[in-house]
Amino acid sequence: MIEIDRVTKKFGRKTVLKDVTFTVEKGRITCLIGLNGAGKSTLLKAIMGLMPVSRGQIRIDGQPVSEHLYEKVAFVPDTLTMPPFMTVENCLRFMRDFYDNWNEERAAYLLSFFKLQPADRISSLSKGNAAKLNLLLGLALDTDYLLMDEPFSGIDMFSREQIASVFTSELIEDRGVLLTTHEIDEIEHLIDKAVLLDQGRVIREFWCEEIREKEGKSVMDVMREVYHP
Amino acid sequence: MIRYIKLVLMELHRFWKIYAALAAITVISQTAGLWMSIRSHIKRVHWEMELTSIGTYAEFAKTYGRTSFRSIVSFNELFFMGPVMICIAVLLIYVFLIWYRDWYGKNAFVYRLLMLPASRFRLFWAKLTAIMLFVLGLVALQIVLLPLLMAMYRQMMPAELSLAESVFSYVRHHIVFQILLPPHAADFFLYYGLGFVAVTVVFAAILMERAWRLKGLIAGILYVSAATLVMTFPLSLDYVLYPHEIWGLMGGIGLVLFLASVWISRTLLAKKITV
Repeated sequence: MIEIDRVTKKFGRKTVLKDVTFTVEKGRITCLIGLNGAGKSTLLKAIMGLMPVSRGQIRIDGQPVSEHLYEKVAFVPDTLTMPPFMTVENCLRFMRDFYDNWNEERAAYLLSFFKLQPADRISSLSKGNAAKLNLLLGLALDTDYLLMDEPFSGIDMFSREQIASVFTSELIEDRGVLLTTHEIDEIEHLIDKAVLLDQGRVIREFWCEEIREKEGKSVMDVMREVYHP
Repeated sequence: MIRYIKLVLMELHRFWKIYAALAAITVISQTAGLWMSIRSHIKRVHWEMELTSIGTYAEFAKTYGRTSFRSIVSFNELFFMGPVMICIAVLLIYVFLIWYRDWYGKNAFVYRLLMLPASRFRLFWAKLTAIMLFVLGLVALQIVLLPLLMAMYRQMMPAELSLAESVFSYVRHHIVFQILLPPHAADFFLYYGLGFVAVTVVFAAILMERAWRLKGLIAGILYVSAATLVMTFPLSLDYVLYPHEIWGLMGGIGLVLFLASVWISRTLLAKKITV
């Protein structure tokens, strides 16, 4: 379980995360929802140790964040993080060279699933293909948790469908997924838990199935209540 | 260890085109400069011989003297020192770019580098090693190139006009090469050791800026300024201390600065760095 415990992050005088507390369970898809600037990306970076927090604690399976974190958690940022001069093949080799938990077989499967060409340069990839490669680099790691920052942002409909299909496949099964988005409609049916963030605070946290059964509301309905009361 | 070597190889690979261009510029410019200097010198000798009705090179040398490699090079010094200065300038800029390149540009590679499942400190060592190899590689190129250029000088210059000079003697009397290629091993280790310390100090300052942005930039500038002051302080004691004592003191201060910079960098990379 990933535990985010009263995490606060300040940039100078501005507080971007304030006492954020929630958990990400294994085998569940948790969606961090918020408008632009709510602090979603900052929180993911903080979990990954890419940004120190001002206060609070983050624990992965009970352990504080350390370099061993990257064997348990994979992060798919909102942009591809490989240098433009590399080819797709170079990227896969880089991952193979540096990660013990790189799953070669799964990488090959995803390469063909996403129809990516190994010889293509990163600089020449379309936005959709860059997003697919980014996802491949995260999914091909044998990790217990997967963090994704806006995986559907700015890509075409067909690429979205292809990426969305990953969420219902065995590629995600048994993993704990935390993803951020501000466009919930297309993935609403995929997520198990929603955490609503506003101006750096968690304003609502709920299990989607439960709220559907008990209150007859969709995630979108709850969002309307919260963000546009 | 293998991952550290792979990181170093990756750093070398990322700079190899510019590095190869620097090496090529050095070789071409120095060779062409020497070739042009010798050609124009021989032309001048012929012209002078015609004017003064001197029949042989031996007679000319008796009247006007022989011309050493050092003198020939000095006719076209820009061709010789220009590429050296370009190499120094590019490597100095690259000390900064080797870090900032990972943060800026279309894709921030630093995310991936900081998320490698190993100590982030390896990044620091890999980048430092790469810079050191770049510097020493160009030094080695110059060490190989100088004897070859001297051989070219002996080949092109008429024997009667040339003046034998060793590479050692040429380097020892050259204002820049005597620092870049110190003939004594102790000087070599001292100069390049201090250069190495300077790079670690700058790396620490860069990481301060990357960790705390504007405040870090100010802290980094202060740190570099303080390090420079402390490092050069022994030079002001030249009326109290012997030269070898001054160099010894500088070596000791350099070691302390190196350890401090390494500790700062390690702490910042592990706990404070921000993407």
